[in-house]
Amino acid sequence: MTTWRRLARSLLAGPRAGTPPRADVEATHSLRTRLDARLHAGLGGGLAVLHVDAGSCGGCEIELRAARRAVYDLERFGVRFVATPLHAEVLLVTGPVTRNMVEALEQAHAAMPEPKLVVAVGDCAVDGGVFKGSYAIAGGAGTTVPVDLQIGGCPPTPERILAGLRALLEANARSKAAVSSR
Amino acid sequence: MSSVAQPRRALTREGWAALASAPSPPLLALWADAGDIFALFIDDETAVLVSTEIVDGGYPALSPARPAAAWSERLVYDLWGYVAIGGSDARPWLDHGRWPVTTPLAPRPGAPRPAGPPEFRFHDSLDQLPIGPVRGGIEPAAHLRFAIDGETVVGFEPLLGYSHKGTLGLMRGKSPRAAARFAARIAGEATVAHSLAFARAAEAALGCEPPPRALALRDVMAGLEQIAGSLDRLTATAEAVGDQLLATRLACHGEAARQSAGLAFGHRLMMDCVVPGGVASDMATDGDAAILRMLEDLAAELPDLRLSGRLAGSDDASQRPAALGRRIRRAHALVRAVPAGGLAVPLAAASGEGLGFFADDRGGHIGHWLRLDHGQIAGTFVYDAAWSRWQLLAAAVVGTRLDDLPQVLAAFELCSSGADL
Repeated sequence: MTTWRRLARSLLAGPRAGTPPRADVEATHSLRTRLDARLHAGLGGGLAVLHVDAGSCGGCEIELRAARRAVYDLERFGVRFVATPLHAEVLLVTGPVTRNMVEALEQAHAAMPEPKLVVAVGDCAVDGGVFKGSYAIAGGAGTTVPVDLQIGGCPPTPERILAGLRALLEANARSKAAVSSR
Repeated sequence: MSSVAQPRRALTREGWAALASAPSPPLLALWADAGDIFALFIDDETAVLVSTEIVDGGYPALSPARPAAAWSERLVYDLWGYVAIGGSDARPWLDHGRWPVTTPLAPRPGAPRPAGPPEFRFHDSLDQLPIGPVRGGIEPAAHLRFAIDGETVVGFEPLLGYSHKGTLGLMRGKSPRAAARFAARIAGEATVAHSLAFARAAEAALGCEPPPRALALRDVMAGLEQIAGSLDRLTATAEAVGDQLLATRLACHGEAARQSAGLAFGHRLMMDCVVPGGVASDMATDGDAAILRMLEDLAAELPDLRLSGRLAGSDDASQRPAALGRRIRRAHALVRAVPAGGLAVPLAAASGEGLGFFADDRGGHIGHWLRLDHGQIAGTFVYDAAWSRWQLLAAAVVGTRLDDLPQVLAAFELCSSGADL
């Protein structure tokens, strides 16, 4: 009997806990910023890359493939090679940009979504390399599309390619974190 | 290893016409120089070089008897402006109408021509599948146009020229030593092979012989390049059929081969290491040990590096591990037999003409021809093995189902830079 009475009284009396305090707005904000930054550094750092051979001799492609395969394993940092500009965040250009490739390179760049990053890989893509002065070349990726990062070398070693793309990944992750914390 | 080249035979127009109308021997390359048209044939592993004078801007075409010669005739027209009289195809090849000139290698280059869409010769009733020149993945620049009927490829035409860098024009007027940098960049996967064929051409033109140590080091480099190249291609095939474990193991060996080349010769692809007259620099002191270690590691694991059953039916891929074994044994012997001595001989500033070859063990030929005038290149032509692989693909791809196309393309290992020049 007493049990039932106690129960009924408790139910009618309402909760004993007081009104909860509001969450600290400042603390929430700073925590969210820190978490976002760490999440982006750890998870949001992927890049979708479209490779465009703009007249390369094939040397840069050998080292790009090496950077992608076992030993260097570029994909462990979230760098994926995609098959269409529609899926690409980064345009990776090799070769001196032959005049015959100018239009295709422009079209690939135009079809990309933002942020339209462009990386020039190898001395040819940087400024035309040894082919400077030929009637058949435009002379580097920068003549046709705006270049964000240059990775020089003839061809660059897989380490250099990896170091360059990792710098791009980190910079990209930071800028994404900055956007999301705004 | 290399074909024996005979001296060039200058033919009368009748002699040329007789050769043009016979289907044999097969044509390797066609080019022009100083008012003459040159044809390089390969007759039972022997190179035969003939030439005849160009009359009224033309020469009798080879394409009626040798359909594959049409691409060469189109190349000659685009670069020099000489017409193949009676040729089967007069469409442009390298010139897409984007250059500031036409016929850039002619004595007097012409005004630019307007760019127009390429035309393909397929029956109107067929669907066409266009691929490239931006193809995704890590692929060379080329446009592939397939005519398809349902799920089957019934016709194929490539549109090349996207990698045309004007290399022949850049080589002109330079000394062989200075032009070697261009020879090394004709096709990245065969940079040693091209440097070697180019050096042989210059040495043949000037009648000089590199020292024995240089010749031995060249052989070591060529052997290393072939081993690294076959490992690259085997890895690509393993990736294409989805055998990831094998691809990973092959890629590790491939990387070890490149690293040993970098250690021994200072460049992972050995670019610019072979120069006319010899080699650019000596092998590093511990270079031979690094190469031997790499070869022994690879030889020890080779019996396990077999492609899975899905590729058992493909002759090419199933032959490769055995070919690789032979290459490893050969390289091993070469590294241990490098004699002491000088690295290069100086080149005379003389005049002459020379042909240089490199025959890879996949049956491909790489050839360089040079005409030197007082030590400077006055005329040149380069033939890359990719040229014949594109022609083989054109013949082999007809009848393929669309599903199998990626594997077929991977098997042909197409490179466009060597064919586009």
